[in-house]
Formats: sequence, structure tokens, C-alpha cells
Amino acid sequence: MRCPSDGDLRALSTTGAEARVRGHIAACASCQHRWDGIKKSAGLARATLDELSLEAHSSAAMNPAGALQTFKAKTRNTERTEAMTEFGKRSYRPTLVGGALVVALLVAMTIAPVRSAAVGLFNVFRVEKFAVITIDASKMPMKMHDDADHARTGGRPDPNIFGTYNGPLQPEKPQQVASLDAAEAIVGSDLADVGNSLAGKSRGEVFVSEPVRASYTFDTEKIAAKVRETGVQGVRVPQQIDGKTFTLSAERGVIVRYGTEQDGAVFAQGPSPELTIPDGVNMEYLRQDFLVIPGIPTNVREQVQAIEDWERTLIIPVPANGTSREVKIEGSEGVLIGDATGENNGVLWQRDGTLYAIGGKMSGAQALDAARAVRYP
Amino acid sequence: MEVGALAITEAVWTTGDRPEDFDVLFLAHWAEVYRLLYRMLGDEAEDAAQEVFLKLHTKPPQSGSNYRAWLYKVATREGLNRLRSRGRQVGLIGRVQALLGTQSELSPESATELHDEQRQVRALLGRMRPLYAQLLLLRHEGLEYTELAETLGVSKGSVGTLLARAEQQFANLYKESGGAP
Repeated sequence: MRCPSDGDLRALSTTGAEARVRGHIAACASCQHRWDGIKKSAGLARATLDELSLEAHSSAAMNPAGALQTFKAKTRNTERTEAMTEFGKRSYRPTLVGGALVVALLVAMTIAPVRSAAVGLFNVFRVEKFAVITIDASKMPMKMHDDADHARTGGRPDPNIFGTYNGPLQPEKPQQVASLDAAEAIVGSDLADVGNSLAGKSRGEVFVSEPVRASYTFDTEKIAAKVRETGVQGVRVPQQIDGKTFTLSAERGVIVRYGTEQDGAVFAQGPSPELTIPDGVNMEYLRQDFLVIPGIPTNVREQVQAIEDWERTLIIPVPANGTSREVKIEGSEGVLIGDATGENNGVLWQRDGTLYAIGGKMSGAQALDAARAVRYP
Repeated sequence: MEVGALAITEAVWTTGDRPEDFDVLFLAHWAEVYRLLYRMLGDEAEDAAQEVFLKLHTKPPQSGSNYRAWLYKVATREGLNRLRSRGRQVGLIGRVQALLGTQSELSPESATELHDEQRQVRALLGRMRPLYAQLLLLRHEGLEYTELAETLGVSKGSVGTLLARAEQQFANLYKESGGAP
């Protein structure tokens, strides 16, 4: 038999089943070594987590009725509960809490150098779903990066207009490696593969992207100044983000090029980017802030409002003349996006916490066929 | 509470009459949510659990959802968010808390060691890939592979492999932090 997967070995360490697997291990030094490692790691994790259980059962807070009373007292008395109720009753609030943050992120997403970071800021932990919204940046209520900004920063958008940004201003150029095996060695995990041909193009170079770590600490005074400068009325800056640091991290990804640089396609994969939301910041309220900003185009408002699982959804802005539709890739949710010409298409999906993308000069059907033919580790 | 009664109540709650049925859900699931968060956060657990139920109150899952799975998922996310935020605050504050935050029946020395160990383990969880940390915690909470797959949105066939990787990452981080492998 073939060597069992880590999952098979992990199950063996708890169930003791599968004599067939046990027989293989007895005859395979490599699997014996892997199994020993898995047992050791499992035992360590179990023992250390047990340490955290010692005190949990003795706490007086294990009192559901008392906790419910506390909950009701809090929700009755807190302003945010009133805000939630009011929000549900009104379809539009002309002069309530702003959302310069969210506007900024939406606008920033249309500007290439900060696009990857801005998209990630809409996600807590990892991406599980996708939602495409079409945005015409010229119709947004604020133009956050004007000519003066560009002149001051040498043509790049100023990342510090709403606070302090720490992180790369532009993504580092991916490092070319010799093969998919070399890429696996660098990222430290097995990779999915689409084969030697993609949409009729032959496999070419393999690249590994660098990890990204970025953080943004918001300064509401800076936001307020920018809002005043842009002249938009009716926006009140959300104080909950003042001084709060959002941290985005993305691990290494792997990109395989097919065909030529000018006329080719890519297959990319990597762990979902992760965002750390600071204490005291409620993303749902920020979304609501965005939804009531005067001047947000109705279609954009409706699109954002329609996203149900906001915290785990990667929002992908596409130009108004692009095309998109939801698709299923072997049971996983994904989205197919095309440009106005129809010549360039791409499909993006997630599976078990990893994001996958296939795109380039190909038809939508070719992109979907290729995505559904991917072999996973 | 009987499982059947709870299932009926949950079904009703999604279609109307939120307050009364919310109370039923709260009472039925508070203890397990709190226990999970206590393991992750210690004394901060009650506040975090209240936040989880606030999310249930203001933005409940879709009709027909598995409420227990939803609560576990939201609770682990809430706990990991707080752990990661807490990770940036360690240092002098952490050392002071290690000295002052011991009011148990253990001797001062033993209590400090215990709290140091717990803090270290929680910090490691905060440094892990979130999916892996969630898997470890929920598996330790007793969820079966099928429940883990449903709760975390992964395929059942991949749970074993993901769990093995999660434990390996935990062991590596533990070793890096100076613990015995």
C-alpha cells in the first residue's frame, strides 16, 4: 500500500484502528518516524491544553442564569444596543456616524499599490467566501488621494493620511525558484498542482512570494482633517478606531506561470491572509457606519449590505464594466471574474483555508475547467 | 435541557419571537462557550463570552444553522482575536501580573509557575495559524471530526491532516518558546 497520509496516521494515534495501516508502519521506517512525530505532537498539545482546563470548572462565572442577567443589563443600558435597534428601523440616517475608514479602504482597494492590504482589512482571520462588488471610484464621495498627495509622496498614495502605516509600500517581487518541489520546500507544505498545461499554455517559471506583515494605527484627528479637506458633509468619524492598530499578515504564496509573460496565465495559491482586529473595535458597526455615509452610491451600498457573512468574506472590487459570477469549485465557493473584453478571465476560490486563483488570457469556461482539474495535496 | 426541546426552540427562534428563544439558547450554550473561552483567555472569558452572545443577539446565523457550531466558531475567533491583541501587550505588564495575579490556594511559587505556564500556552495559541488553533481547541473540547468540519468549514476528509499539522505547529512553537518538545 501507499504510505498513509498524516491524517490517517493522526487517526491511528487516537483510534488504534486500521490494522492495514499498522502493518505498513511496521515495515516502513519513514512512516514509523512520521507516526512517532505525530504521536509526540498530539500528546504535547493534549497535555498542555489540559493545563488550561484545571481552573475552568471552579469559577463562579459558570452560572448561565447570572450571565444572562448580566447580558440583559448590558444590552439594555448600552448605547450600541440602541444604535443597533435604530439601524434596523431606518433605511437611511442622514448625519450619523461616519465611516471614513471604510470609504478609505474601498477607495484604496482601487489603487494598486495598497490593494492587497486593503482587501485583507475586511477579513477577520481568514477568507471563506467571496463577494464581488462593482465600484466606480469617480462616484465615491471622497477622493482620498489627490494630486497634492501624489506630489508629496512621489506619485504614490500616502499611506499615513488616516494614521500610521507600518509595512511594505509595494509588494516585494516574488522570488523565482527552480521547480514546484523547490517552492514546497520554501513554504513548508505540499502544494496543489494544475499540471503541465493550463488553457493550452505550457508550464513556465515558478515564483514564491514573500510574507507580508503590515499594521495600521488609526488617528481620528487625521481622518477628521481629511474629511474636512474633502468637503463631504454628514460624516462623523468613528471614535472606536482611534489609536487602534489593525494587523494584517499573509504567508508565502506560490505562483506558477504558464505561457509567456505577455500572453500567459497563472495558477496561484497561498494561505488566506489574516487580520487581527484590536479589542474594542466592532467590524459590524464599521460596516453600518459605511452604509449610512451620505453620497455612497446606492448600488455600492446595496452590494455591501447584501453581504451576509461579512467577517469572513473577501470583498473584491471590480470595474463597472467587468463581469463576475459565483461558482462552485469541487464544493468550494468561488468567484469567476472577467474583464470588459471577455478575453481575460480568472477564478478565485478557497479550500481548507488556502486561497487558489487561476487567471489570464483564457475564456471563463477554460478557467473553470482548469480550476476543477486542480489536484490537491 | 432536552435536546429535542432545544432543537424545536432553535427552529422557532429563527422565524420570529427572538427574545424568549434567545434566552433558551443562551442558557443552553453559555457554559460550553464560557468553558472554551476560559481555556483560551482565563479571567477575560466572561467578557468574551458576553461578546459572543451579543453577536448571536444582533446578527444570528441563518435559519437552519447549527447554533452550537456557530457559537464555537465565533467563540474561538473572539478568543484568538483577544489572544493576539494580548500578545502585543506582554512584557512588563505580563511580568507584574504573574507576580500579582495569584489568589488561588496554591503556594505563591506554584501558583506563579502555573500562571506562567498557562500564559505561555495561551500566547502560543495566539501565534498559531488561526485555523490550526481553532482545530486544536475544539478537538480538545471534544468535537468529532464531522463536527470540526462543519464548524470550521473544512472538508471532513482533511480534518485529520489539518489536525496533525496544527499539533506539529503547536509543538514547534512550544519548542521555540523554550518548552520541552
